[in-house]
Formats: sequence, structure tokens, C-alpha cells
Amino acid sequence: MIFVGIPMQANHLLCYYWISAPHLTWLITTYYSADWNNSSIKYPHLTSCVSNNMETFYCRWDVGTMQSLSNSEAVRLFFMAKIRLQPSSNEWHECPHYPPEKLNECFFSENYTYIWSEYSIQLRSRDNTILYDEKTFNVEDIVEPDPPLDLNWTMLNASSTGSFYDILLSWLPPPSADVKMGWMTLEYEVQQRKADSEHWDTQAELVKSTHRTLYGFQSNVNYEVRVRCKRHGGKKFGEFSDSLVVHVPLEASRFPVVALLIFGTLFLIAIMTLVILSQQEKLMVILLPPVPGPKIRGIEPELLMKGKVDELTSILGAPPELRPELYTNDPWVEFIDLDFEEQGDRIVNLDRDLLTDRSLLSNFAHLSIGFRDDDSGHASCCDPDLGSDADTSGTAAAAGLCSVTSITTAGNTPLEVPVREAMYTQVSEVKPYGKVLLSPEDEMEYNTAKDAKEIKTAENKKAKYDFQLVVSSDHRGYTSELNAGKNSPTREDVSSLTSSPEDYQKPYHESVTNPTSYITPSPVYTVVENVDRQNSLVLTPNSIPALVVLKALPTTDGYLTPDLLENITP
Amino acid sequence: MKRVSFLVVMLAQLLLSVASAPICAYGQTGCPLPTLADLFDRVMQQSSRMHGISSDLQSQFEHYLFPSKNMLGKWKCHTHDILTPGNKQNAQNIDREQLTEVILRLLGAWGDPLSQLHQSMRQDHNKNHGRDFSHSSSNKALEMSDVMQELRDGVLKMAEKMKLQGAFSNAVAVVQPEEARHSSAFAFYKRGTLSLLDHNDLLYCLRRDSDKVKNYLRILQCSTLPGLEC
Repeated sequence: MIFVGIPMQANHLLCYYWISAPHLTWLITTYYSADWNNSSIKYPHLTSCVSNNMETFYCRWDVGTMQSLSNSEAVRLFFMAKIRLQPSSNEWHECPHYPPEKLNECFFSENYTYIWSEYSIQLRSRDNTILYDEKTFNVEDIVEPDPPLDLNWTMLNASSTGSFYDILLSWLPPPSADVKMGWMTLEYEVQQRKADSEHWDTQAELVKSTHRTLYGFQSNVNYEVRVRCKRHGGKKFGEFSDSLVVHVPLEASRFPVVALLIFGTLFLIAIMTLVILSQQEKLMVILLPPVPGPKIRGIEPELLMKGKVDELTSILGAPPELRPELYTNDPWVEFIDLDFEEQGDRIVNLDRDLLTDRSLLSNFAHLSIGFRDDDSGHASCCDPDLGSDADTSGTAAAAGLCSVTSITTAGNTPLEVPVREAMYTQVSEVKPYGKVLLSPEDEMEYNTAKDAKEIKTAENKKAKYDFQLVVSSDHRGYTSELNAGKNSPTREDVSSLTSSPEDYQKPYHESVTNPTSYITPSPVYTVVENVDRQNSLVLTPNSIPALVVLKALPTTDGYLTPDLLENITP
Repeated sequence: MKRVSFLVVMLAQLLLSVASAPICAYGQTGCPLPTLADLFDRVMQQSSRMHGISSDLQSQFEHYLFPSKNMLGKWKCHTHDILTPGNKQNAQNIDREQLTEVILRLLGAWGDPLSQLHQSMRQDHNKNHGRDFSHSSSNKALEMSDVMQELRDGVLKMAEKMKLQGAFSNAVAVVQPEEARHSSAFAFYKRGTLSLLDHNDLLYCLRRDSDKVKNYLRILQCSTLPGLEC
């Protein structure tokens, strides 16, 4: 074993080991390099040994950083080929040909190329002292064919819309490779990409034929295709061919299906719009039938909750045409023939102040008119909130609130209750058109305004409570214990009327004496003194004629409706 | 995993054996006689397969044995005394009969060593010499042995057909390779005790020879069949 170590520089060492054995002569080259300096010196080394056609091959090297060795004389290539039946097989020979036009290359012609033989290549210095690099290979392993030529494509078929198509790509094998004889068997790989893409798509399968079908090309898009080949059974591919541009313009002469669809849709929309516009009303009726408003079958619960008794009673005592509707569905309300219709319109229970205020009399019409129960559903338009003011609460019936607030015509004073003495009068009748006729003044009896007013307000408030009580506890809801009169109906009347609790019977002073006739023209009023603990009204005796004549008691058996009771107030 | 791969290999082998069933050369009824083109195709497929398996095995061995890719001189092959055309010029000068003979000699020279290789690989596996790859490689060796045998039979039939069709200019009987050399063929690679190095050398030679066979068959095909896409 011979060892030779050649220090190249302070930090490099090239060591050579020659090992002799009966059968083998190995040359092991170990190259130690340590880059202590940043500038690393690269020594000449073999870059590649390539055969293009399996008939010849070449080896190239790089001189590295040693520029002084750039001329071919400085570096020499030696080879040894184990070729059978050649006596000089085991000897090193120098490169048969250094091509003059190329630098750092050694070319092996056909005579020096043996395919299934092992070659050893060495790169040595000029004086044969330094071995720079070495390589061993078989020629069939270093075959890299030339790229194919003459790529061209033909359209195979296109989609029905013309936006996609398939092409048949064909090419010629490289002329250097003798495929005719069968000396080289080539496999081809096709790649494609869109012109603006960086990435090439590779067809997975290699083809042995010189054509290939490519699918799914888009019209109006530029594509590039390229082909490369390798030896069948080999490992290395050759260079790629030149790229071929594939482009198919989108045919404009084809029937514009998309345009037709859009135009047809727009046309249909236009026709439909015309139809809708012309038949708008009919369509509206069909599509959106008018919603019937609610018919008031009973007491508006909102009014009850708010405790606006007067509005409520005004509703109840509303124009006579409504009354049948109010009463028909109540089981306990026997519809007794209303003398109201005979005797004219019932009076809407209004506040006395309102009643006595003649200037407001003209408003009554509005009030009653204002409350109309029609199908438009305006029944609840009369917002109880409008009468929140205690003073004004009595001024407007629920019915009249809507219209009353809007009434400022004729210079009428606003509907605040005029601060004035309480005056009582009796409403003799209410005309159908809403006019209220009052009894003549001399028949009226006056109270002190203040007391009356206070009491009235207290009464109203109490009335509210009572009324609320009545309504909430008693299903019938119409047995009003409000009772300003001293005349109480007989017990049997009361009992026949209702089965309400006992405590309600007390204040029931009304006497149902004259059910079928109107009250005598002489009004009897009394003033409520206070409300006892049983929520019954205590009337002042003798200040006013005690008798409280029922205004009108059309019902039999002492049956009283709230509106009747209200009329009995003094 | 080993069992699965073994099963897969056996299954593949079964399929292949079915696929490459012996051609009915006796003209039995209901058995269509293959044409020369069919024979060539089949033979080409098998030689490609042969070359592929041997390349895989050899690269496996080389990677396992010499991972650092040292430069080592390769040993001579036991088929070195078979004169084979080494370049295109020589291949053009040789005629079809000689080429066919060369092919047959090469194939014949490898029949025995391959079966012995398989056996020795299986022994290695049993001795737990190697890792998982030795199991798969012994299967591959078995596969190669079978493929080699079938390839040789196919080429024989093909040669007979060519002779019948007058492809050979001189009606020379196809020389059967000598049988005597086979016994020492495997021993040619032994360096004493059996080792993986021996396997590697053998595989290297096998790969080279299978490449030769494939190429020669291609040349034969292109020269014999007219109008073929060569």
C-alpha cells in the first residue's frame, strides 16, 4: 500500500492511496478541504459525461478557480475502458480528441465508444502528478437523448360550445438517435402550461410513439407545450424541445347561445312587467286581498284597562246602530227591545260640563259621528290616552276623542273643561245625527260648582274603580254599581238581575219603576258624598231631590246597563 | 408488512404467469397461433421487465452496500466470453441469426445463476442477515429467475418462427447454448464465502446483460418486421 499525500495549501490536503491486490487496483482519492479562509479554491473537476446518441460521448470538466489552467494543455484527461478482446484494455489512454472549438471537453468518437463497457475517466494535471478528479461509468447509463423536433398540433375535436378542445400533438424523434434501426428506444414526456403560468404540467405517462393527445384546452387561451425524451430503461432525460404555442380563437360565428339566453330572459321580464303594470289593480286584489278590519264585538279591552270609563260608556252608549252588535253575543245580555230606537237616539254619556257647555254642544255631533263603528277598523282610534287629564277626561268620550281633538273649528274653545260651576241638566234626547237636546234650564238644579266638580271627579274616579271592579270580577260586566241615585231597585230586581256579590247590591239604589217610559221631565239628582268602604256611594240626602229618577229604564226586571246608570247621576 | 408484500409479489407472479402463458406452438384446436409480431411484443415486454427488476435490485444493493458512492472497479462478468456487439457499427454488421444466437446464449447463461441467487438470498434472509429488503429482494430474485426462463422460451419460439418464415438468410439451426458452463457460473462470482458483495457483482452483470438483450431484441424486431414503427 502506497500512500502519497500532497498538501495543496495550508488548509488542503490531497491524499492518494494505491491499493494493490491480485485482482484489483484501486485508487482511492480522498480530498480534504477546510475553508478557513472565505475564499475557497475550487479545483478542476469533471462536470459531466454525456452521450446523446449511444454512439459517441463527451466529458466536460471545470477548471475551478485556477485560471492558469484554463488552456487544455494544463489539464489532461485519461480514460481506461474495459473492452474485451482489446489488449490495451487495462491501460490508461489519453483523451482521443480535444475539440478545438470547445473548451474543457474531451470527445469520444464511435471508435472509442463501447456501450456495455466500463469506463474510468481521470482528470490529471499536465505533468501527471496531480489527480484532480475521477469518474467511472457505463456508457448506456449516461445516455441523454437530444430533444425532439418539429412539434405540431392538430385539433381533434371541440366541445359543443366551442370553448374547449382536444389536440393531437406530434413530433419527430431527434435525428441523432437511430430509432429506425432500433438502436435506441425512446420514451417521450410531454409538458404543457398556460402561457402566463410559471408551472409546467407534466403528463404522467411516457409514450413510446411520437404523438400524444392532450385534452381540455380552452379557447382563446395561449398554451405552451414541450417534449423531452429518454432512453427506454434509462434514467436521465434529455433536454426539452422548443415550446410550441397552441391557441384557438373562440369562434364568433357560432350561435351565441349565451346572448340568446340573456336576451330571452330580458324579454320575458319586460313582458311580465307590462302585464303586471296593466293588470296592477286586479293583481293586487288577487295577491293582496284587503284585510277586513276587526268588528268590535265587545268592550275594547284597552279601554277597560286604562279605566276610561267615560269613553267606554260612550262606546256603549254609542249611536244606536251599534248597540245590537254590542249585545248580541253576550249570553246574559238579553236583548230587550230597545226603546232607544223608538225614542230616538240615546244620549252618549258625556261629562256634565260638556253637557252644560252649550258652546260645545255643537261638538256633540262630531263626537258621536267621530265614533263610528265601520269596517275600516277605526273603532279603536279613539285613544283613551287622549283624555289623561282629569279635567279633560270627562270632556271627551272615547268616541269623541279622535275627532274632538281635531275640532278647533268655529272658534270653539278647546276641550279642556272650562272651569266653571258644575251645572246639571238633563239630556232629554240625542238625535240621530248626534245633536243632544237638553232640558230647559229652569228645571235644572244647580249644585255648587266646586263640590259638584269635585264629587264628579271623585265619582268618576270611583266610578272607574267600581267599574273596573265590576268588569273584572263579574263576567257580565254590565252590572254597574255606579249609582248616584238613592232609589235602589228592589232586592228581587237586583237578584234577578245578577248574582253578583252582596256588597254590590247596596249601592244599588235605582228603582226600576218605569221601565218602558222615559223619565219624567223633572230630573232628580243627588250628589255623591263619599264612597264607603264597601265601595258603595253614599249620597247626600235632601240636598237635592232625593229621588233619582231613572232616566230611562227600558230593560225589564231592573236590568240596568251602564249607560242607564250613568244617566241617573245627579 | 413482510407477509403482505410477499403475498403481493406472489399474486403478481401468478398474474404474470397467467399473462405470459406459454404460447400454444403446437396448433391445438381453439388456440390461435400467435404471429411473429405478437411474439416479438411479448418478448419485448418481458425483457423490459427483466431489465427493470434487475436495475431495481442492483441499485438497492448498491445503495445498501456502498452508500457513499465510492468508486470501485467492477468485476468481470461470467458472460464476458460471449462476443456481443458493443457499438452500433458492430450491431449493423452482424446478421440476424448471429444476433439471435447471441441473445439465446446470453439468456441461457443466466438461467442457473439466477436460481442460485434466489436460493442464496433466501438463505440470507433465513439467517437474518439483512433488513426487510432482503426479503423483498429474494422475492425479486425468484421473479427474475422465472422471467428469465420465460424469456428464453419465448425467444426460442420466436427464433423457430423466424426460421420458418425465412427470416434467416442461411438456414442455420439455432445454436443451443452450452449447458456445461452453467454449473460454474455462479461460482464465478464467489469469492470464497458467500457475501452480499457477490450478490452485488452478479446483479451488476445481470443488469448489463439484460440491457444488451433488450437492445438486441429491438434491433432484431426492427430489422425483421417491416413497417413497424421503429
